[in-house]
This record gives sequence, C-alpha cells and structure tokens, in this order.
Amino acid sequence: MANNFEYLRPTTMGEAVDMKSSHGARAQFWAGGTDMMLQWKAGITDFDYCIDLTYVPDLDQIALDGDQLRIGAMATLDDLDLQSGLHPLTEALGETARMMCTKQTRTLATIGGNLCNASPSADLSPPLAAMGAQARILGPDGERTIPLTEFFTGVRKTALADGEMLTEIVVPDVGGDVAASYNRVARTVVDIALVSSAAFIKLDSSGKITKAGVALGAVAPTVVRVNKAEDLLIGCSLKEAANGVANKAGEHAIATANAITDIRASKEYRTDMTSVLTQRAIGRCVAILEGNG
Amino acid sequence: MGVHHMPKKLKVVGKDVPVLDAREKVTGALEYGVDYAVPKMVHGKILRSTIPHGRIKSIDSSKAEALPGVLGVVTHEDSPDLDWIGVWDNYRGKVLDGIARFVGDEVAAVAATTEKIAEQALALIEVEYEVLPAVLDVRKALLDDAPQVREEGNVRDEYRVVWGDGKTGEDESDHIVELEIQFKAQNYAGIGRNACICDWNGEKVTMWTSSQTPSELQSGIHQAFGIPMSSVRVVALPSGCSFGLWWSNNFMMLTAMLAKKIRKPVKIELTSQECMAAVKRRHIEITTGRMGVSNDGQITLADFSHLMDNGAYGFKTDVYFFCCDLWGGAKNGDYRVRGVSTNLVTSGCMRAVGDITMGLAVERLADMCAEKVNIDPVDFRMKNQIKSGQQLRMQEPRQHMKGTLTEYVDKLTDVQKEGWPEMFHLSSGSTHELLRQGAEKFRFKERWKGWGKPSSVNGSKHRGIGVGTGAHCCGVEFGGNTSSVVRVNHDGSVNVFSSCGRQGQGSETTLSQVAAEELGVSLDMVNIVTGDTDAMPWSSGSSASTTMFRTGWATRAAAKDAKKQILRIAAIEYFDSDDPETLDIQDGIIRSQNPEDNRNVSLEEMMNVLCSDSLAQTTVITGRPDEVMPPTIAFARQWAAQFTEVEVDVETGEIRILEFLAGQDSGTVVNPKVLKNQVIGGAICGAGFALYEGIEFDENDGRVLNDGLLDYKLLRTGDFPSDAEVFFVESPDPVGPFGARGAGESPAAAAAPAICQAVYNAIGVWVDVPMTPEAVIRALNER
Amino acid sequence: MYKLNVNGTSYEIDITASESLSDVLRDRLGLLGVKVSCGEGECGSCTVLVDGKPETSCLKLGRQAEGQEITTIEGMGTYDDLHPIQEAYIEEQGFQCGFCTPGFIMATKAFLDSNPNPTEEEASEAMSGNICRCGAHPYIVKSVLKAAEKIRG
Repeated sequence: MANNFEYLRPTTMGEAVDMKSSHGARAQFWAGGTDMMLQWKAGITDFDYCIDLTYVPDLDQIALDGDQLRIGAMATLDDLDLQSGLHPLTEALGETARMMCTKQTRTLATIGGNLCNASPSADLSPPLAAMGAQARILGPDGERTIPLTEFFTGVRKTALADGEMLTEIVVPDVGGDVAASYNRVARTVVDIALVSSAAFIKLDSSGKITKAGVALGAVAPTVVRVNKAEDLLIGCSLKEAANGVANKAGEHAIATANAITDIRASKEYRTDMTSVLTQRAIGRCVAILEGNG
Repeated sequence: MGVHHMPKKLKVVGKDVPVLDAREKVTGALEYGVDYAVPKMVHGKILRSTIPHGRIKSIDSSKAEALPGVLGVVTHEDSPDLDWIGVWDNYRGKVLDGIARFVGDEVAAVAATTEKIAEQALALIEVEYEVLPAVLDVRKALLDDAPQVREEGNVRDEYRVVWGDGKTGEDESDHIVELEIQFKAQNYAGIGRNACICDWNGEKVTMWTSSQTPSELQSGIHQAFGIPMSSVRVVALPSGCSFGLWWSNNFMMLTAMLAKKIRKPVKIELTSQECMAAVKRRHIEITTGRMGVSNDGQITLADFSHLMDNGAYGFKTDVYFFCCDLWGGAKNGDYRVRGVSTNLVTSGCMRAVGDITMGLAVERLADMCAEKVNIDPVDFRMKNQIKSGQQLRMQEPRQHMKGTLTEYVDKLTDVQKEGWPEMFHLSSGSTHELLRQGAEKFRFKERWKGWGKPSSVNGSKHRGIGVGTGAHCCGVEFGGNTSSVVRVNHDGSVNVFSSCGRQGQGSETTLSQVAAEELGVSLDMVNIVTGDTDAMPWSSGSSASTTMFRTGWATRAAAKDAKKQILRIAAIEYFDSDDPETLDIQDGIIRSQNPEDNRNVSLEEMMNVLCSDSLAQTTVITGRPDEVMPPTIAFARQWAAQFTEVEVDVETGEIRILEFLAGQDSGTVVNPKVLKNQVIGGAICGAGFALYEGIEFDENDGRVLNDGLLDYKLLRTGDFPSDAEVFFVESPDPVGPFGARGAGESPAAAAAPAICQAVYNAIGVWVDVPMTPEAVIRALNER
Repeated sequence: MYKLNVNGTSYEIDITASESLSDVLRDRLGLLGVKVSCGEGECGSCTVLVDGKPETSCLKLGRQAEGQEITTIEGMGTYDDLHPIQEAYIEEQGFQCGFCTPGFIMATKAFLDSNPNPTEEEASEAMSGNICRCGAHPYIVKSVLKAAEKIRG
C-alpha cells in the first residue's frame, strides 16, 4: 500500500480546477474512485493530493438539451442504467452500463471516471465514440470541447492537460430516428470486455442512413472508429445495411483492429470477433429502427 | 463390531434443520479469522520472494528493525531446525530454510504495532539472493537434469493400479481412442481470506485461525517448534469456503515464530492477493490416456498416465483416484500417477483432487468410445461403471507406517471385524440408480439426438445435452484418523467434542444430528465443540470427506458408548434391572422398551442424581468410540451423476448453462438442505473449472498473473441456472453413521464431464477445459 | 472530524484521507459484519447501503460517505428479531460458509426495495454482483424470492 495522501474537497468546478492547477501532477481527481482506489492500493498510481469531486454540484445530470444528450461526468453508471428510458441512445448506454462491473460498484463508478481511466477495454467508449460524442473539458484557461476519440491518446492516457477536468459528455444531433447498440464478448456475467463493438445509425426522413458510427473496444490502445464501415453504411437503407453491408463492415472492422494478446484473450480471437460483434451491433440497430429491437 | 444397526425410524437424522450457526451467519455476527482479535495484539506482515528460485546469501533487517513501531523481524536464521508435515503427508520442511522456491514464497516476517508500519518495514529489509535455476514446466521438472526444487528431488514415487492385462485389452478392443489433456491449475479462490493470531505465552502457545484441520495444525506447531502437543492449543475459527485451502499453512507457523520472538500476540492477516497467489492451488495436471472398447460397448482397456505438479511445497505422492473404481467395469486397467515439484506456488488437494481432472479425461475417453460403438452416454456408463458389491479396482494404498491395510486388518480379531463389509468390495451405492432416475427426470432418452448432434439450433446458438459422473472416497485411513467424544452433562444436555472444520459444509450440524439421534435427545440439547484442541480428541479434520463418514461414525460410537453407560446406571437405579439392553432413551426420557412397563426417568433427573453423589465422583458421562471402524477406503465411495443442457454461440464461443440436474448418492441423507448445498456447490465448482477457471502463470518467473477476481472468473448466480435441481438416491451404507457416506467431491467431479459432453453434442467438437469463448472458437476452427 | 450516519446513529470520526469506508466501518466502529474479501469490488462481500443504494464499501473513501445514510448488516435484524430477508436466507439456506452472506443480504435489501416482486431471472441477475464461492447460487435466488414474498406479506 502506498503512503497516505491529502484529501481536498472542492465544492465548485472552478475550485476543483484551481486545486488541480496549483498541485499539478501531484494531485489526482477522485470521482467514484473505483479504479483509483485499486490503482492507488496497488501502487500503480501515486499522488499527494486527492481532489474528491463528490461534493461538486451539477456534474451528475443526464438530460436531453434540444437535440443534444448531455451526460455529466459525475453521473454514475447506475444513473445511466436508471435513465435508460430517456432516449433511444440512453437505452443503449443503459444496456452497456448494466454489462459493467457489478450493481454495487455501478452506484459508485462514474462515467467521467470510466472515461478518464482510459482503459482500452472500457465499455462506454465504443458506444459513445460511435455516437460521435464529445468531451467537454474545463481548465484554468476556460472550456474546450473535443471529439471523444481525440480524448483518448493511449493506454490510460487522455488529452487532459495540467489542471483540466472532464465535466461532461455531449452527444450531438440525437433527434430523429437513431439507434445504437453495444456488443461484446465476456466470460462470466460480470467481466471486462474481451473485445467489443458498437454501432450507431441515424436515418433521414426517406429511411436512408445519413449518419453512422462503428467503434471497436479492446483491440487497440484506444477505442477506434471503423471509418470504412461507416462510409459503407451511409446512404444505405436498413435492408441493405442488414444484408451484406453489415458483413462487409465486419471485414473492415477486422482490418481496423490492432489487437494484442494478454491473459484475457489472444490477438487473433479479438480480431476475429470484431467482425461478428460489428455485424451484430449493426443488425441490432437495424432491428431497433425497424421496430423489432 | 464396527457396524451399527440401523434403527427403523429416524427422528433427528434426515431432518431439514437449519445449520446451527445460521443466525450468526445472516446477522454477520460469526467471527472468522480476519475478524478475530485478542488483547495486546500486534500485527505481522510477510516478506515474499520476488524470484522463483534462489538461496538467500544475506538478509539485512536492521533498517526495518529501526523503524519506529517495529517490534521484531524473523528470518530463516530464527527458524527452528525442524521439519513439519502438513495434512496428507505434505512435507513442508522447515518454516523457513533460506531458500525461496517460488515467486511469493515466504522469506521473512515483521511484527509491528500497526499493519501499515509492518508493511512499510518489509520494504526496508534487504535480501541478497544467489539466483538458482528454476523449473516452471511440469514435464521439464521430470528430467534428470532439471533444477531440483527440493532436497528430496523433484519426482515422487509413482502409484499404480493395475488389473487384467494391457496386451489382452488391446487384443480385445475393436476400437482404441487416445488423448492427452493438460489441465490448468484451479485456484481455491476462497471468499473470506484468512488471518492467524498466535500468542506465545511462557511455554504455552495458543493459535486462533480459520482451519479445516485444527488437530493437524496443532501437530504441525508441535513438530515445527519441537514443543509438546500439550503446550499447543489451536482454536480453529470458521473459515470462508476452503475446499482444502485452509488446513495447516506455513503462514501460521510464521505467525508463531513472530509471537515467540516478541512474546506478544501477533496477527497476520493475508490479503486477497496473497491468498490467491502465495498459499496453495490445485495442481497443473496432465493426463495421457488410451481406452479400448469392443463393439458390444464393453471397455476392454483403460490405460492412463497422470502427472501432477506439486509446486514448491506440495508433496503429492501415494495418490489414488476414484475414477478407476467408477469405471471399474473395464476389463483391463492400468492407471499410473506421479507428482513432481516445480518452482510454482505450492499445490495441494483441492476439492475432488484427481477426480475432477483425471476423472474428466477418463469420462472423455469413455464418451469417445461410446460414440465409436454408438451407445448413448447413459447406457455406456451403466454398462461399464462399478456396481454395489463388486470388487474395487483399488487394492492397497501404498506402504504406510502400519503396513498394508490387509496386514492391519488381518491382525484384528473376528469379533472386532464382525459384520464388516468385504475388503476392497464396494459396500453400497453406485451411479446406476442415479443414472436411471436422472435420465428419467431429465427425459434424457427423448432428448438425446446422438453423439455430436445438437438438441436444437437457432442461428448461431447451438444447444446440446450431456451427462457426467463422478466418484470420490469417504475418508481415508492412515492419515485420516479421527475420533469424537460425547459428554452428557448433569442437566441432560450433551457436548460433542470433535475436531473438524467449519468451512460451510455444515458438519457441526450434521455431527450434532448424529449424536442427538443415537442418544435419543433433541437437537437443541446438543452443543458441539469443533475447533478447540484443548477440548477435543485429535482428528485429521475435515478433508477427503472424512467428516460425515468417519468422524460421524466416531461420534455415533461415542454417543452409543455414553448411552450404554447411562442405561447401565439407569437399569440398576431406576428399573431394578441388570439388563440395560431392555431400556432406551427417547426425547431425553429413559424408558423400558417393554410397552407394558410405564416407568420412566428423564435423562436430566438421572444425571442430576448421579452428579449429586459426591462419593461416586462421576459428574458427567463421557462416551468415546470403543470399537474398531472398518477401513473405509477399502469399501466406501460417494457417487454423483449430473445432467445438463448448454447453449453454445458458435460465432463467439460463449457458453451458457441452461439446465442442470444433479443426482447424488451419499447414502442416508442426514440433512437435506446441507447436502443439497454441497451437491450444487460442488457442481458449480466443477462448472467453473469446465468453463473459465485456470491460473495463468508468468512464463518467465512463474508468478500468478490472475491473482484477483477481476481476471480469475468465478461463476455468479446469473451464470448458473437458478432452477437447478438435486435428487438423492439413498443407498444406506452398512458402516456409515445411520447409513450416511461422504459428499463434497463427487458432485464437483461429475459437473465438468457433463458440461464438456453437452458442449460436444452442441457443436460436434471436444473442447479442452477451461472452455473459454476463445477455446471454443479455436476448437471449432481446428475442426 | 467527519460525521457519519450509520444504522441510524450519528458518529464523529477522525477518518484518515485514504481510509476506505469498509475499514472505517470495521476498524473504527467494530461493524465486523462488513466483510472484506477481494478488496477490488468484485466479490460484493463488503456491500452496504448508502442512501438506500448498494455500494462496495471497499472502493469508497470513508470521507466520501460524509452526510450519507449508511446501513450495514448490523442495521438489519438482530439475532432474536431477524429481518424477513435474513429469515428467508435461513429457510432456503442461501449460504454455506456465510462469509459472503451479509453482502448478499444487503444487496437483496436494495434489490427488493426497488423491485418488490421480482422474477427468478431478475433475482438471479441482481445477485450477480456478489460472489458465493461455496456455490449456493440457486438457494440464494430462492432466498431472495422467498424474502420478497415475506415482505409483500
């Protein structure tokens, strides 16, 4: 066990950012703490100041704001589950949340924490990336918004600069006919994803796909989008997407994957599964939009 | 005279009473090792090796000792020059001997005022190793030029069971199938961890820890420190699930070393990681086998060679597995088993040792044979598995201190052996009735589509059914000695003193039921002491299904002896009779068995009068076994047959268990709730082994990589059908207490083959365990 | 000093910065029914209710619980007056060694509070946040269903 740390408790976002700025790399934001506690106990991460965000208000909202879906960084995975009924996309995100850790850890673990931990196998990254989610970041110099795919820069690495904190995830343009699906392979009912894939589809009024997202988890240092699969889907009808295009999208997923072998699964298995899971994710989106979800 | 009669009607045995500590468990009040504390207690931590094999050249603890709050450090230099032997002849050697034999091996220990200071002190101990070559591969450890892990060498003697003739078997075979399976090591992965507190006060040593084998631990301390057993008191606390993990472990000896050095009570509490990577685990096992079958479905040849790695301090030798008996209908058999040391964490007997591994290999080959001759798995088992009364394939356990069993038994008088089952013949039960009833309940024949044929296909989801069988012993002699004492107090209440474990198997309840039944008192009058070696007679404790069968027998014999003494006194004092045989105790009342005779006296009244007689100096009645128990290894087995349906996703390799039916023949059921839990618990242990469980060792230094539950996957409620059912076949045993036998292992052994067979039927290929999604896809691709 | 509300009683405790809630409950308040096994949020043995929600107390900082209502197994029934959930676990024997049992019972409480009339499948899924290595799985699910029945009356 590592040494003790000093506990800081900001009560506003500004205060939190100030604390982080003044202590720099020796300070660590503490959200739900479910990853931090383990990493700190194991000595993987070491810091002198723990900035507990529990008491910062207004960071835990999940709400529709016009055609945006806004998810506060301190909303828990359990909140995400409980808010499933809000929108077709929260339905998919809630289903994803229910696959993650356990009920009694989901009540602690936050969405922001999960994303800032930047694990390659994080379950929320693929569906959010496929939806084109953006990360809102607050820092000493003010606020900026970047695509979630750019938020992750490597294994356990993010684009957060010194003093910056993730405040919110924004999914733009969620109006109209949209659907998303996250699929993964796991061992027991509670597990880390061995490999995963998510799809997002938006239809125009004529029933053609106008927007598509396909993203893979646990096959690269960060979540990766399968642009070629997305390009294929755009302009298709749901029928075309389900018949043939999904299959080709799967092949593109295999080509995009850059998996490694570890104790959970081999590179080969992970790579092969991206195709199956991508096809299933697209198939599920189609089924939802056809009213059979 | 070791065979007790079976009463017509049982009053306490067979009742579904809640376990005695149920209220403590559901209120969180039951104290386990980690919860226990004593006054003035300080805290210890263990320094563990970072290399797989090395001799300590120097160890400097001066900086650690200088840290404020540190009370003492022990290293191999403090270790007594004495060997201690654990349960089942596991030769640990000295507590510390200056050699590290695996990553995580104990090197030194620190005591300090707080756990945190002790932990900080560990980092200040400087160890210089002479690095020795390590052997991390089981097969390589067999080679003559392999690095030797132990002074005794790596390779233990082979145990062999032979019947018939291999050459004849080959000639008689119409088909011969072969396989080799390497089984990953299963982790005990107990929920609950463990802690040990030791107080070395003057010449008296007291230890509190969770253990299944309190007396063996007492013996271990006696051996390791060269002090009389009378000076050693072990108070065994309940443990979390154990499966053989918490017997007598070397970290307990290290706690004693610290306590001796600093003369204060010391507590060492293990972390989950230590429990999962540095104590014990199941062996890595490799089975190579051939099986022959004739076209009429008769197994003609069973030829198996089995290798198991002992890790650093395991000493598995003289091993014998009961799958040989289970498939005893084979005409010719040759089973060979060897243990070999490696520089991996110690392995030990885990639930259903050998029968979950080698037994699975035997079942697999039998299934392959059955397919060759196109007989379904139920019929094939019925044709080739042993039946009650038949000769067991096991003949003699290997040499031991008292000679062979036969020699030992031959020395007994005919009176002592009166009514004994025939040696090396199966006394009771078999899989046959389980298979018959199970197949009917499961509608197996209707649902069976043929070998390698799914019962249904829906897109990528293929379903298949399967059946598996398992067997194990009911205690083992010479190493499994046991006893029990029953004391009747002057209020008519009863104490049972019996050294066994409380790891959730419910023995304290079932043994109490046995004592209450035999004595004729209600269960609430019985209080059992299972953990305090100052009170109990020595017993090898709870392992190898000794407790219900052998300790239960001893408990019944002790109760019988107490009852005999009570009735002798009662006959004279209350019934003007010199024939105690005419009396009986029912519901705590002593009565004549003659219905015309209405005289009676309560046990309480008689005991009270007895205790008040100051001249007699008999204040309590103490019963003990005064008969010889037949050697159970020579006739008693437990049986399981299980049926399952699984669904395999052929695109991802994921497997779901949809349906589970577990049949169990453990003789008379003493407590249905307790036994059902044992059976389903065993099945889930076996299912975990079949699907996900296996330790991953670092290929370079042998450390355990998945030393937490994040990556050592255990089945949860959602992974196993909630409507799984258990049924019992109660073939009463002529020797076991009220006809009961053992239970814990056979259900674990039956589950894996049932699931494997169901997967084979679903997808048409055999998958080696653990059948992870990836393993399934690999097997499908290799087809 | 930090104020914690545990089982209806308010405590002022000098919680150190890195102390987990489970350590505070066990070491400071002597609530040994809060069992800690894996220490990594997998086994659920340390489950307590925080403002009615189940939480793995080994992963939460003690200080993070300030001002929240905490319920441990000690806040359920007593030896002589069991909670219906505890009675149900005894009747169905939804345990073996009992180490994981307080965690299961707390998870059951939270689950039945939100779903008083669950199906077997829902109960099975809900109990998957805890691990029983002894393998009492079907009997745990039966305990949950029986508890639901008892509570519904």
